[in-house]
Amino acid sequence: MPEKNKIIEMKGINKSFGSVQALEDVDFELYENEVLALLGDNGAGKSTLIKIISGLFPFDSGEMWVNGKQAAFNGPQDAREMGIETIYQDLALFDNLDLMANIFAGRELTQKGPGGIFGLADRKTMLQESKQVLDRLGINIRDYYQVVKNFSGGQRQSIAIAKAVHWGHQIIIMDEPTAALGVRETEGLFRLIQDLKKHNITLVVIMHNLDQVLRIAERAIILRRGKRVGAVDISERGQDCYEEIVKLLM
Amino acid sequence: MSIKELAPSQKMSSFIGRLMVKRELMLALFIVLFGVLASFLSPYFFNLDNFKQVFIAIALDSIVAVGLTVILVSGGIDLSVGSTIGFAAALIGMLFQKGFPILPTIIFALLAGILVGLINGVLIAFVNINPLIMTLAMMGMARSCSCVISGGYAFSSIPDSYTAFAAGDVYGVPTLVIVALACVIIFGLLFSNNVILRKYYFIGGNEAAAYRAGIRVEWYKFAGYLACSIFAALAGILLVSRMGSTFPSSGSGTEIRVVSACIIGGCSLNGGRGTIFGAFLGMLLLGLISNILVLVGVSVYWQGIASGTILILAVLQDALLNRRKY
Repeated sequence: MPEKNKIIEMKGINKSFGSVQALEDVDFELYENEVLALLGDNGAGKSTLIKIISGLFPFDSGEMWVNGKQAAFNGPQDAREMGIETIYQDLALFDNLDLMANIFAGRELTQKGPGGIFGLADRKTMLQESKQVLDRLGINIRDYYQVVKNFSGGQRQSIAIAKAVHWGHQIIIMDEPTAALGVRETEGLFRLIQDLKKHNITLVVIMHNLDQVLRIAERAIILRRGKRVGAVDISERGQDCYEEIVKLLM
Repeated sequence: MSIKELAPSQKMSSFIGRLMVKRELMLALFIVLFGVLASFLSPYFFNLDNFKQVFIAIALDSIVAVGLTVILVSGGIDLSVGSTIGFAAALIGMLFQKGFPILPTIIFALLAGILVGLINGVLIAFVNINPLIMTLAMMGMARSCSCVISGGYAFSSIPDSYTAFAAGDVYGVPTLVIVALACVIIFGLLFSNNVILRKYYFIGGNEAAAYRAGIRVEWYKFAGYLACSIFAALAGILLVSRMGSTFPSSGSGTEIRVVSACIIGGCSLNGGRGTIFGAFLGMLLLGLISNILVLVGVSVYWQGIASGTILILAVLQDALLNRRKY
């Protein structure tokens, strides 16, 4: 593998919830502009690991570097400020609010001019920017003012992705992004991942379907019962590493 | 990914369709219809003095509704507002009896509200006690405080200069109504449009997602309960000015009326919905209903049935729409 920058590096990460040790002495590295698959059975610690990277959980012990600097996230806003966005399995949408509010959740824009003194939301600019990111993803929405509760499953997923793409200028993490998607939508997502990679985004995906992993991921890190059991370079070996991954998973 | 098919409910969402589901507009329409009907029922209804009485009657509850809407939108509830009014009122009565000047007395009453809000806020937001349980407990505790302070007796030695405020008017508009409308309009506009206050809609819509989006959920909840109690204390301060006396039971029942009004106005106990304007319109509708009942000579004992029916009707549409969605 050519020498690449490590955008995230973690060493000896431990995390337990009460008496359950979710992560035990886990090392993790993420190279700039790669597509990394995080693999493991249920309860292997994948979700815990990405929640640490997203700033949701602090880790108990270990060290983490982001962009070469030692880092410890003090909440999700710290991760978001570094351009790390996560698409959660449950999509984390606000059903009661419209598309713009969902895309700009937690960081709505303030009007310039007199309205800004009162901190009024700049709905016009947010609508424009929302349209831009949806256009870029080829997502067609007829009614931008509709609350997202009324959207179909695929559209909801698109909105969650649009939000991540809008803010995630460095890393986008996807927790089982294909779980709710049909064949056509899955293909669309894979094209999007390739497109994001071209735009210099680094991606981490959690997936269970190994065929899909081999198609889109360049490297895989495999966890088992809270421990890292191996890493496989998929881009070099292609389909050949299927057996090895299965063996590591079992 | 191009997703062109539309969810069924999206097809009928024209601009007019959206207006129809706008609760505030429906409510305003209903109030107008109600007003027309009421004008036929009683010759005394459509009359400026009568409207003035209705607005004075709902003024203090409307101020409480501003704070409670924030709480309901965030997904919580505050049952202690009525007792907080009583607590603040009893404190004012006692301090005036001891000869305190007006300004320090008002400050102490506000501090009483802040105390209630701090306890509610800390225990709900940071300790994670269920808001219904916490404010139910506080409802009893704050009422207890007003009884302890007053020894169970009424205070009526309120200075004339203090009662003059609520009795006054500006160009014929009663000061109480001005204060209430100012609260409703200023906070009503800011609550829906200010990027900081709007975060309550995110918290009420999906608390976990709000946290993941970087919103400091605990601090917002804490601030919400604090603000709600301060609005209640403000209502208590004005109540004493209006009544010229305080009772240990002052303000009791406010929580029922105001929660009802907020829900009629579009709030949901599940959070994420409702506006301060909606809550005010809900308050206005309830006020008009009790007014017309009095005007046509129906016993006041029927008012509970009337307002209860309106409350059920207000939530009926949602209940029917969301039936059997498992």
